[in-house]
Amino acid sequence: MENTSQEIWRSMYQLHYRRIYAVAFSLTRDTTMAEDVCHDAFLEAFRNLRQLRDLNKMGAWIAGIAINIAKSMLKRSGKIVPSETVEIQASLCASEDESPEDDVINKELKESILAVIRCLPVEFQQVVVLRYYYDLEYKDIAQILNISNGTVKSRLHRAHGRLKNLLEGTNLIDGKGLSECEAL
Amino acid sequence: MKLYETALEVNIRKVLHAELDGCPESGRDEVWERLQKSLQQGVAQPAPQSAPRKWVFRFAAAAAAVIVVASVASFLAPKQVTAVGKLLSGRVQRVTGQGFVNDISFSKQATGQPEQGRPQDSGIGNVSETFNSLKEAIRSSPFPLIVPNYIPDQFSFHQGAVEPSGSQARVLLTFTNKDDPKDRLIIRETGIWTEVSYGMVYSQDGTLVKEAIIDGNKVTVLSYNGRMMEAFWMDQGTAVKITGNLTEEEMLKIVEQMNR
Repeated sequence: MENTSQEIWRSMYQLHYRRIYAVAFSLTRDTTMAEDVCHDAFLEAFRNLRQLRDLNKMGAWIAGIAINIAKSMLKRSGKIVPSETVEIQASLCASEDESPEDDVINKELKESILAVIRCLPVEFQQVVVLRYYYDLEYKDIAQILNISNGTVKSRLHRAHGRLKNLLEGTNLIDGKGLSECEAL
Repeated sequence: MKLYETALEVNIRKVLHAELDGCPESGRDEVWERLQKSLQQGVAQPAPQSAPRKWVFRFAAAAAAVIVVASVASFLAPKQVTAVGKLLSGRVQRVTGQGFVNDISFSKQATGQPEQGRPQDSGIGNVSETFNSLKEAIRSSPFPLIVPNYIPDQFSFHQGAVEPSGSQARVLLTFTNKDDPKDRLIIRETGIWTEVSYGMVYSQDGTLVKEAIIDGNKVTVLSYNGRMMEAFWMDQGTAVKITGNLTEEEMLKIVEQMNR
């Protein structure tokens, strides 16, 4: 490995590792497996760097690879991630005007959302993570995953449908929920 | 925050950020070290296992089954290219190693004595014997010759030569292009019965070096400006080197179909 390449790769790695690890850990709930996913995802990314059309989307691109790898590893290991082990930091969910009771409800709902996301097919998870964690537009997601805009919309729509079914009757889909919509 | 998002979308975003941004990180340095090794070696490093996993045993069982099937198949199937490896370098290459001597263009140094039971000088000395047919060359070779079963149509057999010398003997099979007699395809085979070291340097710009695994042997193939210059490998005590103005496809096909 040339020194220059090594330096570039190290910079990319340092820049993106934390978020890739977080995505991997959220799927596997296992630190060792999450590290394995990171290793394989970065390796695949560095080897296929030419396929990346926009360097600004590198993190999201590697995340897409990582999700695929995590799913394969989970399938091979026969490991099922139990949703009851999901731990959300309560402090992250609470707002100042929420009572402890609201906090408990919010925590349960958040766990439900995460559990549903984890149970989605891998191609749905990819678009959900790229859309809502990496904040990408449809066209950027389409480019990274090499699919059409329509497919991105369709997958997101179906992912929303599953979440809505689960969360029917809760305040998470009626405009209140964790906070008011902050769209401007 | 996107414009016109539904409450559900807003909440998905919040939940994901809360979950992932709050996730404690681990293994950054360890994974980088493994990654560096993998990038240097060109292969993925197996992760250190914290505990036995079911898939490890499944993989081991599957690998064992593949090995058994491959072993049986190797007796039944014709030789095939199993892999063409990566480009080793874009330009100048130095290839060194130990195990066999090739021809006089290699620096060579015998480091051992002839083994008992191995063929010695045939008594002809360093004088070449030439033959006008492949069959004669095969008969006269002091070691089991590896014979090409495929030669590109444009080439025809020209001459065979046997050159016994000290602890090795060399057989040259020469084929000439029907349209251009100066265009020659040469197969050199060297029977080895001493341990030797070898080295070779290619200093011409545009020389590409690749590795291929053919019938279990690691074959080094070199091309110059898009045409194949050379392929060489070791097959059970015989060093084989093919030189010619060929395409990569033609060269690999010749190598594939070399049989004892």
